[in-house]
Amino acid sequence: MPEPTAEPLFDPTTGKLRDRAGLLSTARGIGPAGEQLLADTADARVTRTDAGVNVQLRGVDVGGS
Amino acid sequence: MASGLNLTTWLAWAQAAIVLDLESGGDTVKCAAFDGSPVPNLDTDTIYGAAPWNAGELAGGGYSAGGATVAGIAYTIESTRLVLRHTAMSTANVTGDLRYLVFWDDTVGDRVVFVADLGQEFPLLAEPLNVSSPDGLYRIRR
Repeated sequence: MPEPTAEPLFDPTTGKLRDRAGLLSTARGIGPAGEQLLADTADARVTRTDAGVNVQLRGVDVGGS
Repeated sequence: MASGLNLTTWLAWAQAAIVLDLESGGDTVKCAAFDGSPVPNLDTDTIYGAAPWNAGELAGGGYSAGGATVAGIAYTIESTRLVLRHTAMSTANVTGDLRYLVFWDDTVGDRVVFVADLGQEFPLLAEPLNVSSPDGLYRIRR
């Protein structure tokens, strides 16, 4: 009886890694949603997706305490 | 430099030397994108088109000098804060190493109102630049 063939972790077609649930994520840090986090600071969150470079400004608190 | 308001502009506004109408339907407010070459001082660098905001601006087939017009600007009181919100912007085909986003008033003396400092450069090569402020651009506490 042949041994079951394990599904390869690396998919050469997509260049992505496949986890046990069959979900794909890339080896370059791009998540399942296709979003690559470039920076996450107090001032802004910067990501790259197929739609381009996305800057989410956090805004600045002025005054008060 | 951290992100923040331009104090000279706001001082002039407070002293009624200028009158800014930032909300949509008033002044035309733009968002210019610069690389990391300017050395800004939020206390003194008041005018878009004057140093240091006269060099290092990004370019590209979809980017016009001065940047995109900021739409949907509105002030709202949210809990204990006065919040300025705007509609998300998208500019196609931008090229350059983005670091600063300069919000300036194209109607009143090209006054710089707010500068966002991303802390480092982010390269764009003929690709879209999308800017949003989901929590507001700035929030004035009581």
